[in-house]
Amino acid sequence: MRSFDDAARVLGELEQRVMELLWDEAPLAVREVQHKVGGQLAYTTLMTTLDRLYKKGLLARDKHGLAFVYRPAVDRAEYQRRVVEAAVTPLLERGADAVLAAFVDVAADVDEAHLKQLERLIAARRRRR
Amino acid sequence: MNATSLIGFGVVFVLVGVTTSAALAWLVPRLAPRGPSVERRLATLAALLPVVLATAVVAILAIQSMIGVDHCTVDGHHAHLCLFHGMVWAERPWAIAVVAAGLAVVAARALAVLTSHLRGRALVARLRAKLEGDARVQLVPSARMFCVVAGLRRPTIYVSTAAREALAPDEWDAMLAHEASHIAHRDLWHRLALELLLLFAAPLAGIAIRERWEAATERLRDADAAERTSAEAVASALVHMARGQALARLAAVAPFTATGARLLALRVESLLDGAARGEPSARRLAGVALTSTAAVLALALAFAEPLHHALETLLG
Repeated sequence: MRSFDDAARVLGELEQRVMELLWDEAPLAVREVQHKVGGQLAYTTLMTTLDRLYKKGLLARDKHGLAFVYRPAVDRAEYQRRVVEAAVTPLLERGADAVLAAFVDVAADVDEAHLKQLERLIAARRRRR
Repeated sequence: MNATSLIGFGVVFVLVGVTTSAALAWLVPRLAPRGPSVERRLATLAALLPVVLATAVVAILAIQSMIGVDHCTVDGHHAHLCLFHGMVWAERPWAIAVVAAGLAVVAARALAVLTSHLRGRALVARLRAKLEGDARVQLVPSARMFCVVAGLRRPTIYVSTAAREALAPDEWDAMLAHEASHIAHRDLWHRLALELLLLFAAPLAGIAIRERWEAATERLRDADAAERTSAEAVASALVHMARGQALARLAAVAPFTATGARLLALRVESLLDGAARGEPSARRLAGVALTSTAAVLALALAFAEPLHHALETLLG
């Protein structure tokens, strides 16, 4: 199964429309999704799209008779948070240093004892004021 | 004009540039204790002067050959630094190797700068597309502790909700003041200019110069933020953010750098000590550098002919 990071990056327009629909009206079977998204899309196209979203971990599904019924595996807010998180991680960890200035170096290897020592210095200074 | 003549000028450019760059990179840490303004100015000069000097020396040599001061017709015992009579450089494998190595290094560095900028811009654009609004301070819904300023044309502060929740109000104000100072001083533009100048730096010198420039810039922005808030608030925000990032790293794989830890301690201690920025010294340094460069160039012009001949004898 693909990671959420990958899924969030490549979520296409149709997949996004399907997710929006299911957040509003789940659970839905493939035929219902086809009807609500637009009848001109082939049944097999939507079945493939829903299956892909399921494999990405964005949808859950239950079998009702011979057909699957789909519902979101994450709510909209959680999805948005994870999408943003997926955009933040490479920015901070995969060498975007050239285009940004960070308040504190993300890669700074600072141990707890060192931080406590600095905190004591700050506290002493605050007391002197 | 013969294209092979350019090899000789290329050798001079490489030798003058590399020698000056290495010497200045050696000098930067020795003058750094005079304050972050001095350190930043010195790092900038260490990147700029080698390019200026190497270009000026090559220009003087080239102009001399064009106005006919060169002695190509009477001195045949060496290769000439002359646009018209420098064909013999093509028979000097070491000279071809020096110029080829120089060009390869500059090209590789330029490619690295371009790639990292394009990748970085794409990552920033990707984050921006996920956020709503167009504010200069973007609150990013994230569990990670970070605060960065990004964007050359429209610099924006991206700060996480985790940082918003973790910092005290005075620390929050101090952190934003620090980032706002980066924007006000156009630091991202200056760093890009530095990167372009460092394309021509001596091997390893570029790393040392960039590190010094960035450390000095961070300390200057800390001092700016301390003036608008308080030194304790800036220092406390630094420690608070570093702790949050250290906790996040327990569950993530990221490259660790001891340099960052040393810089954090230096920044906090400088703030609490109220260390001087060293601006008067930085101004004096700029004056001395300007005067020295002008003097060197004036001497090179005054003694252009013997210098020309000496360089040819040395290299040819």
